[in-house]
Amino acid sequence: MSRESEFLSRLKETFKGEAEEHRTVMLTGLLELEKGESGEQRDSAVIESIFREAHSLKGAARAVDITGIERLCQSMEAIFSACKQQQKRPEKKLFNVLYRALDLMAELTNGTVPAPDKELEDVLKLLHAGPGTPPIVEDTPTVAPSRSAPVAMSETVRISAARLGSIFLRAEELLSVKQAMARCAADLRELQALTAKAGSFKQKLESMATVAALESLHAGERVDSLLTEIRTALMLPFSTLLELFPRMVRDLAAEEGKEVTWEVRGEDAHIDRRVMEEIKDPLIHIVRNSISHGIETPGEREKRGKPRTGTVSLQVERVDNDKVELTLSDDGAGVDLVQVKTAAVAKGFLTDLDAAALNDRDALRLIYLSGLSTSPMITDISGRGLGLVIAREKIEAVGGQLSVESKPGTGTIFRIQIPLSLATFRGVLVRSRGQTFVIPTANVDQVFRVDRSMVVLVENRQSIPIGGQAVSLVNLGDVLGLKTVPQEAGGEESWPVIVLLVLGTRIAFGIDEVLGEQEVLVKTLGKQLARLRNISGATVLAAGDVVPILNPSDLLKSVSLAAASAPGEDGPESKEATTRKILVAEDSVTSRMLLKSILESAGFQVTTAVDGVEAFASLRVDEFDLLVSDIDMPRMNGFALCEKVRGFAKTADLPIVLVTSLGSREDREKGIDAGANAYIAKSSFDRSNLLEVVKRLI
Amino acid sequence: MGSGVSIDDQERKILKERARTLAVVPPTALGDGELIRALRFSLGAETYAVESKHIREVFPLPPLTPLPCVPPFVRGIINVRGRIVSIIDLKSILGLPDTELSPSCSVIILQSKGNEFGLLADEISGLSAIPISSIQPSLPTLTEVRAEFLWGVTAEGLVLLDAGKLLSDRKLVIDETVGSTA
Repeated sequence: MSRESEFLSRLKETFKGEAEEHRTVMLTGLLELEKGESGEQRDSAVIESIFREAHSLKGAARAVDITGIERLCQSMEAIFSACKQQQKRPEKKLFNVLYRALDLMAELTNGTVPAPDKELEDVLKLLHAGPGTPPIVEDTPTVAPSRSAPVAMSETVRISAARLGSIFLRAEELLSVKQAMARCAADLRELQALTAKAGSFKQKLESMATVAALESLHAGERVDSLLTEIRTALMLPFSTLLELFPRMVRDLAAEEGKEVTWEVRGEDAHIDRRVMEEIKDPLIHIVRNSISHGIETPGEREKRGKPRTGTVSLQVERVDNDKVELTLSDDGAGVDLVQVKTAAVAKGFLTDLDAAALNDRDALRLIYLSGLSTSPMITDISGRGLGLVIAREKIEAVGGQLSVESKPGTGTIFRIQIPLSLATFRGVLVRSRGQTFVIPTANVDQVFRVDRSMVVLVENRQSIPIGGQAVSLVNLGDVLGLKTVPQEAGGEESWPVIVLLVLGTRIAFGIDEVLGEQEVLVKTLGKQLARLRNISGATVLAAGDVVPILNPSDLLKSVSLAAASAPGEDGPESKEATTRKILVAEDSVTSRMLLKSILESAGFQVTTAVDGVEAFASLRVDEFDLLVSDIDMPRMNGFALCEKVRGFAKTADLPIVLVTSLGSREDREKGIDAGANAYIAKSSFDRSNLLEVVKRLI
Repeated sequence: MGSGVSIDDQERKILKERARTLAVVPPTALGDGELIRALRFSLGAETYAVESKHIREVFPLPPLTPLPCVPPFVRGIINVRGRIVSIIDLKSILGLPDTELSPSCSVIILQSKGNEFGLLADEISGLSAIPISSIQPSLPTLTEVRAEFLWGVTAEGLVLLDAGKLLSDRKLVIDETVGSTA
């Protein structure tokens, strides 16, 4: 890369950061103006700030030669300049266009839209058509840059998160220096004790030991305080995560035809940015869940004597010195336990009898079951019945916990407890077949030695009585598939077990020994190991050993899966063995290749078609187990294809997944009418999402 | 006298001609110019090479922690200055006979924008400059898996791996949940 192009790409990188800041300020301002709840004085301050931000961004965009953004900003500048003069908020109907303009700016910044874009022209036209908008002036009079607002220069420097992260890693390495020094001091003291007789040698050793002990203490203090400082530097106020929520709530409510107010309290609490990043998706999911399942339509709310507008509120609160609790409550309908039970019975998770006997608390826990959805249609938003499971897993992966309370008719409360920092994680070190593993202390119920005489066989499986209940007993090494070591003859009379508790279920794991409990720092396994079965990450011990961290909820699933497949070896397994065939209909070559490779990597045999006509021709001739189709296609679109497939005897029952960029409620409904089984929006499209849906259908 | 001048002209002409000839770089001297730098290393009895632009660093194999629940080509994880990096065993991917880890083993860390892992190498032999034109497509006798990750073979019989392909192949990225594979 030439020096010039290198500079240009660096410049663009910088611009990205800057543009995002301007955009965020404008977005926050727009949302406030649209609400229209603040006084006139506040309004004019907000209008002024949007005007300045647009102006600054225009200049910056010109510097990196992104004319699309420049033109958008110029139009916005003109609109808000008019607002300033007339001292009033922009017209209500203009807001949607303004939001679209901001979205486009983000896309243009990331280079995800080509420069001459139809949408850009549309938006520009709409912006110009705004009533009361003066024609665009070629160069607006000079305005002071937005940064010089009355706010004093804040004492901050901008540093990339990656840079800060790498400084943190360096600081963390110092921990080993600290530990090595402590060990050195201890060794010297031991030597000193051994040489109690030899006079001067002993004296020398004594002074060395003292110095080493003192130095080790000092080094330790310095390392710890440096780490604490850097850890704090990695903390951000929770509000940075919440910036995207007002907009999301607004859009989603509009799409669902509901009226929702979003409230936040305590967003100043600081939290490790890495925890925040992990918590973002689960939180989005739960909020979406509250809007699409919790809050009722305005009409329904009025019928129940509630205000038309529902409220979803988030409270952020520091608890226990090292944790943050997020309480997300809505004043909607609550979880319909009857419906949940019915769905669970329909899916075969429990029998009618079990369902009837279930108390409300346990019934509520059913919502975490994978594959359970009370929505008739699988959509990407929620109701896939997968979201909450994944949300819970992600929260647990950072050492957090998710709980839910629901009052029928009055609302649902989700509580998420997360650690302030990733470092505050305690784990139990155990050894199994010669290998060391860490198990999160939060999931450890108890540890004890079990006597052979305590083991009973229940339905041909080993179990032990704990607190009056029979708890399954398995060997950890068996679950993980570790090779047996020779000395494990199985002849011992007693051995240690560790009992894990996940969502109310206990399982006892037989191990070689418990090595102790300590603070561990969770590290990801690297990009190549995106997600593993039973292992959630790794940590580095004092001596430099790398130790895998086990994932308790995976372990429990592995145990129940092994139990289910044990009796008949050729049950569901043999069905897997025959390759399932999938037809992909998609006109875009990129999307087609992407879908094909994702499905093939999961072991499916994939055939492709470029439109509905070609797809239907293939379906007539060949046998397929599932159809994945785009909606917008030439000749025959996805809806038409669905109807054709349903109307043709051979394919009437073929599972159909629609994958599309159209994400609106009407499209989804149109999809149901046409006979699709699932609907995934491309915007939220990712690999596991698609595979989960496909695997649920075949 | 006049003839003297004309000889000078002639001489100048010849000299110019020679200069022009000399100025032209012979097209085949360096194998069409473009060279790639590649790191040579051994896997069992065979020597392979990988283009250096994909390499982040190379160092002797630190203590390796094996992982359960991974395919055999993932040998384990190591600690690289506070980061965990996974180690891939090419022998398992290329179908070469398995050998024990020895003190002379090294790790070649490959990195791209979306992926990073270490390759296990029995021994590092050195760097080579290889003219791109000398790279022949890989031998037809190779099995499908082997051919997939090979760029080609040089005239000297050096087997060049396609590091870009290794880094971008989704098959080599483990993304599993309980029940998804079993």
